[in-house]
Amino acid sequence: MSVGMLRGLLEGLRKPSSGLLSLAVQTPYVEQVRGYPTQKYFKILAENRKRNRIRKLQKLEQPKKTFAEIQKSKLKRTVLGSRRYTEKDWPKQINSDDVHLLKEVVRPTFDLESCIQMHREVLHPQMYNHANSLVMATVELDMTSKKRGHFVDQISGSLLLPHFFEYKRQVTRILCFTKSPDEATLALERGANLAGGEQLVKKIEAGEVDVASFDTVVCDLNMYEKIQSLKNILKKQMPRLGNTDAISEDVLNLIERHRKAVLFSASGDLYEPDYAAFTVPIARLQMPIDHIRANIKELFVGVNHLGPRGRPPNSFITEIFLSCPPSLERLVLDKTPFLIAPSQNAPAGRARAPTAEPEE
Amino acid sequence: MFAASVLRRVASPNCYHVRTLIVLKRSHPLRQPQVGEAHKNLQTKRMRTYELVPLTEEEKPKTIKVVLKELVEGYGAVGDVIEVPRNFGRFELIVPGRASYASPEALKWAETLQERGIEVVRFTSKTSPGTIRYLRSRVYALIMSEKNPWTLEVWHVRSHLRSQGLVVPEEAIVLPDKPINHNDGVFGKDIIITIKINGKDEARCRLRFRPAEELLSPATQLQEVEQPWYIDTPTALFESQAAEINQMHDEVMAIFQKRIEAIRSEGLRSIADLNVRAIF
Repeated sequence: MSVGMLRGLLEGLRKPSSGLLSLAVQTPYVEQVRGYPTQKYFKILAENRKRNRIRKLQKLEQPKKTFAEIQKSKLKRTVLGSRRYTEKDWPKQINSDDVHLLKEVVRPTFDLESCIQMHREVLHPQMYNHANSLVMATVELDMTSKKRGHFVDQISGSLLLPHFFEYKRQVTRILCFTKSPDEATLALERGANLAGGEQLVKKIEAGEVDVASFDTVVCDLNMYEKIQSLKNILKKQMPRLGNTDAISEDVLNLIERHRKAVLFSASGDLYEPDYAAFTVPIARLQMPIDHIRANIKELFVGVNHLGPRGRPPNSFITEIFLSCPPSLERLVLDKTPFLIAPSQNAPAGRARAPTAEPEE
Repeated sequence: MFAASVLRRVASPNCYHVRTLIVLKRSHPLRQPQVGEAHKNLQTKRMRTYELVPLTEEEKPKTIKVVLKELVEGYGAVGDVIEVPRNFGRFELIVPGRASYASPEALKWAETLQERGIEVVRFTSKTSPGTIRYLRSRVYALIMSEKNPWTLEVWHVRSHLRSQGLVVPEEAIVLPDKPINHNDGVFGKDIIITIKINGKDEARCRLRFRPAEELLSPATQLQEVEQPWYIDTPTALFESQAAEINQMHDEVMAIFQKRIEAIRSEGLRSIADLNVRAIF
């Protein structure tokens, strides 16, 4: 029933009835009725339809929340804060007095010499009495890959530091391919866990040796062509030509270097998949500063090439801290002198790490 | 906006304490017709739209001027004339009696402070009274060797304070007059030093000597610590400082108990709450 019909009915009822029959005789007043909207309302309807269509398109354009963003929103509900050292943690009000709390200022970065000097003071024989303590470097990483929503799962590797220092190190398991059996016995004496020639290659092909239990694979230059059949078994541990850490004419020297290597591994955080951190011993406190600097430079080179491909140079390592146990102090290192020039970013003599590529 | 709707939005004049004037402005201004031109039809929709012109005279000022009657941290000393946000000035300064409106009488009172012999205490910066208050409510550890000989020097204190989160230059530290040696039975006892903030403001800072070799041995590190070390009742190294040390210890205890009650009632709010139990 249209509006016009209703109005007619009401008007008919409102009229004073003269007699009993008047209601029966009275017929409702009928207006002209259209089955379509007027020109005025048609315009409004068209506008609304257009607006709705635009909104629908805008919704489609909005990207969905990635896994990382969802996890970060979960983190806000917990007691735990973000583990990353960021500018957000720094205070808004800055204390400009000469005596101030470290909480109240934007935390400064120190160059290497002043960092080491500060640690030497605290661990002095008159105070903590740990003068030759280890210098530990904590490295924070940015694990985002080139593809949106994908992250590097975990990284692991070993550092061959130029200057040796003593500490209880994790044992590296070394697999060695040598040209002769005499050399193989020498390699086992020097510290290789397994060494051999063509017979070892056949054993691995047959599946008698578990390759996954070894950290590093070292090969003599003459054996290089004979290993090629193991390409599918060793996969990313496969030593490549030009990698001076995996292939050389003097294998025994290489094994000794690997024995002194420092191992590290890091995996993404549960709540922050783009965050990972690891700590490695870098030097002893009483070593000369030039030696410490050379070791840290090697750390930068060794870690930076593990980063995902297609990222801008020097963006993988976000922050480096130096600490000396048992002191709890952690100083932020100024990393500008250690940054790698873009041409030097991907050195030829290095193999890629086993799990460097993003999971897909 | 139609004129009728504008009028509807304005509350009735009975609500106001003063009858107010409402000023309207055409949203599409009229152009004066030239000679021979016909008048515009004023009944159109455009001609009936108006905007409300806000009356700025009635608006309340956002800031007010006040004269301080006492020292207010971060704002000023006695007699200072400062401009603060309206609500803050009213409810935090004027109502508690810490300041008054900058009336001519109050300004005259502020000018004649020196004649009445009222001392004006001024700090070198806004933040320095806060750090002075903070240092009273803390104990810093001086972890020194038991085996190797030493006499306490300024750089010992400076590097230990920095490692615990307080940056102090060496010039600011004033040690007690008596030299302190490792033989004096120092460990477990407290001393108080003065720290001069910006070379002027004096803050008192409590330090406790702790033995390095004993703390860092594996035997003590495996022990379960029931309560943090800074809660233990202090013993003064110098008897002249004993009263002040006890006074500062009460402040530490008050803050500690308040914090633990907050954790019990509200639960952990951040990871920092876990650090109430100290590591050493």
